[in-house]
Amino acid sequence: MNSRANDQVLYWGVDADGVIRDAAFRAGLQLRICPPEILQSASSSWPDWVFSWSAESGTASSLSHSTGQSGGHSGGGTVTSPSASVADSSGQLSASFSNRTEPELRRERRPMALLLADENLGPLATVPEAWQKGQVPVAIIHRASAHIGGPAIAPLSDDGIAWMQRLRRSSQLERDSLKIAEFLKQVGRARQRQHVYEKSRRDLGLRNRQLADLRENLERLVQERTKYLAEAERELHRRSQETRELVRFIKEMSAVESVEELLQKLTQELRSFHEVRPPILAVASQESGAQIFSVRQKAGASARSAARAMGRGGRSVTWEARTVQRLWPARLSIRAHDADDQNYFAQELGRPVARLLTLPLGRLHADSQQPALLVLEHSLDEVVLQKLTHFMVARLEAISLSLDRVILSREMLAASQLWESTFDGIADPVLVVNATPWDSASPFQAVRMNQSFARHGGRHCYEAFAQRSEACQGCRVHEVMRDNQPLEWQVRRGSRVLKASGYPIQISRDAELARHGAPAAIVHYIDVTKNLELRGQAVQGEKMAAIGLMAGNIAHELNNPLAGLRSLAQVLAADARLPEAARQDLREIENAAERSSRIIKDLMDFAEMGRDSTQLEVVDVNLVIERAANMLKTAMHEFAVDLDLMEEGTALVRVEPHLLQHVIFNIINNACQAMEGLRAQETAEDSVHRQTADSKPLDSGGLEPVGLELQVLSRQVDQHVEVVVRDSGPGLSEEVLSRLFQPFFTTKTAGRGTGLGLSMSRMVVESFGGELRGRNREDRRGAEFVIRLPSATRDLDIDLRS
Amino acid sequence: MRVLVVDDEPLVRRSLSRALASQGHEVRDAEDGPSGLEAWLAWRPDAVLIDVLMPGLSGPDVIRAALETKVESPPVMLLMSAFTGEESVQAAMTCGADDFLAKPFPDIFEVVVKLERLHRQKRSV
Repeated sequence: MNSRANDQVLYWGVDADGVIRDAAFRAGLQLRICPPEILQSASSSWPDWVFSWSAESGTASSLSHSTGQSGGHSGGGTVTSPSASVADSSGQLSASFSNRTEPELRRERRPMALLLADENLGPLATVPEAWQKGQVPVAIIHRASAHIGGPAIAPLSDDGIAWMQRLRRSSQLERDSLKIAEFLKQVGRARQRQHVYEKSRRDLGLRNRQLADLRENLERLVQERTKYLAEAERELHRRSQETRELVRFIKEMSAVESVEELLQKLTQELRSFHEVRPPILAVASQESGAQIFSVRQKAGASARSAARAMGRGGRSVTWEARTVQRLWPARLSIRAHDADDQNYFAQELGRPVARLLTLPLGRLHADSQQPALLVLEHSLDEVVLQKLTHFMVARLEAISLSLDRVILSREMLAASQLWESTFDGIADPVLVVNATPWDSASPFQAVRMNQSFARHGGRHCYEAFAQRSEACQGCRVHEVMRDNQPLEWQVRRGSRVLKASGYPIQISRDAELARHGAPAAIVHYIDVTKNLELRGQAVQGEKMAAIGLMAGNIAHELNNPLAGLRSLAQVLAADARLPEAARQDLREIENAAERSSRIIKDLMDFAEMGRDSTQLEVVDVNLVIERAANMLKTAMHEFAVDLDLMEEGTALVRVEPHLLQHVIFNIINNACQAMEGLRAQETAEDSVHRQTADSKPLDSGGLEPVGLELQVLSRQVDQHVEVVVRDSGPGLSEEVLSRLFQPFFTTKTAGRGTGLGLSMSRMVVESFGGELRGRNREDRRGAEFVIRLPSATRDLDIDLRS
Repeated sequence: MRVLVVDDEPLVRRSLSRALASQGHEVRDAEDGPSGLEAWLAWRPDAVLIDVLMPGLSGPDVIRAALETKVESPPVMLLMSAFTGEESVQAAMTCGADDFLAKPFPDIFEVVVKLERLHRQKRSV
């Protein structure tokens, strides 16, 4: 614990700002500071005092045995020493002071240098002497400029100067002065730093103020921005809400299916606007004409109730449409409280109207020249009216489109229904064949068929229509489509013959497309079987007429040999000389000849009739029946005959009377012959059985033979006269029925019929424009034949009428 | 009696001949109008059976032609034909024939009987 006397520096002066202390520390020197006032007061003995001054105590302590106590001189001040090393060393110094002799102490405690502040140069005059003794360098610090002083400002004595020079020369001094120089440099720097610090502090202050201002500005800006953003967000929210509502409304509009529904939705949409009544719609369409739709107003209902209805979302209102007396103003501008509108609607609705906001919905599809109007009755003030107008304008397009769609679909539905009913109303089957190109793999697909056609299923027309697995033979529909030309052809369907007329359909009017053929065709089928039959029959008839003409000659030619054959056979058979077998054979030959003759006779009868039958006259059919019946008295008398004829003179037909008589004769004869056969059978049976099985109800008075009766009646059915012949014979079997009117078909045993009767009869009846039908009776066993002839009026009557 | 059969059908001639002959009458036949007429005028039969429709000269024609000769006591004249329509019959009968027979004959022997009856009637007149 030696105090390094070489590193100690004694400073006489005041170091209020700590610059000297700081510099000493940086220079690695120990500093002792002695305030000037103490120095002044101790000037007389200050050299010694210097050595004895203790920085710690802050007072010069005399060389006494005090242990750090301040000897104290009057007027002495204390100096605080911030430097720990100084204090330490001072403490040590004072601690070890007491044990030393003065000269020892002097040597030990000799500072390296003595620094003086330049203002304390007063006592400097005496410094050289003292220091000469102790050989301590002195440096002068110019406080103001921290300039390391050289020679003192106060004039030194010559000795002093010499001393100073001496000081400088010594090497030890050199070394020490370097340290001092360093120290002083540090002092200078410290002073500079102080200066800079001060400036910085000033600057900092300024900066802080600036920052504070800036922050304030920023805060204000942020506040404003925040406020602005909040407002913008609110606005955005409000807008998106509006848009959502508008989108919802548009969706609703796109789903409405009727005008009433549209108005209902609109009423609901407007419920936030009180003081607005349910909307009025004026619309003109092709289908319904010009109409006004409004809420059905109960008698005595007020504006309030209507408004209340609005408030409830319009759920309880019903809409009515009325046809207008005259058309509404056709101007396309949106207008409020327009006089024309007010007058018009007041008149048409038949009641006073409140102020009107008129919103034209534009022209709905090209056909209608009259724009639709949406009219809102209201009692709003100007501001809310503006809002309402904006509200409605945003929705006008959606409403307009929706209304257009509703009206169009209504018209389309009506048109479609009209087309369908027309299409289905066609009695002939109509089939629309598909739009696949004519050269595709699968044409002939059925696209649309009418009711008459629809009784058949199937995809392809030939499947549905003709129950075929491939196209009908002769079908030319593909040619129709390919060549874009109408064509006619014939197809067969079962036993029917159909005339087909195919017409190409153009889907577009594009001439270019048309050159590639038609994409679809309509084929119209007409059943011409009857026509062909009739034509065939006509041809046949002509043939028959021709044959008829020849028949006479042919018959005669045939008859002669036959007659001869028969006669000769008879003659030969009569010859008793022949063996019995041969005579039998001859009789058979005779029979065969007889049969042949009979056929020819019938043929000739027919030929005769054909020739004479050109004269038709209006006769009472009952007379004809009676004449025919008279001829059959013999045959008929064996059966119960029921004749039920119409009033005389009412059953008029236009016929050749003899021929008709022959026909009726034929039929009645057949009936009798049928029953005759049965009667022969039944006489063998028990009569009781017959009665219970075949008899009529007992109350009708059964006669003998019960069950065998002939019914002949005439009646008027629509525009026809019918003659009905019913027997109670065995009836007609399936096979017989199917061949009933075939020529040469007969159920009679050999020799009794030629088979020409019914076929001829039918031809005769048909030549009168009538029909001959035969079938089994429905009420009991037996056959029924019906001759149906068109009713005629007497020529006289016709003349009168014309 | 002497009977002349005029018909273009061989079987008719043959059968009639046979039938008449079997009843003891004398029969001659001719196959057409002209030869029939000739035979009639030459042979002077008691009865004539003539077919109406024959190529060339018809039955009625033959009768008319024969009657024109104004022979006293003309024979029984019977026309035969397959055409039995009223008009045809009436038209044929205008020639002056006594009766009409429909062909084919149901029974050839009945024809003989009829012929004999007519002959008796005529002769009694």
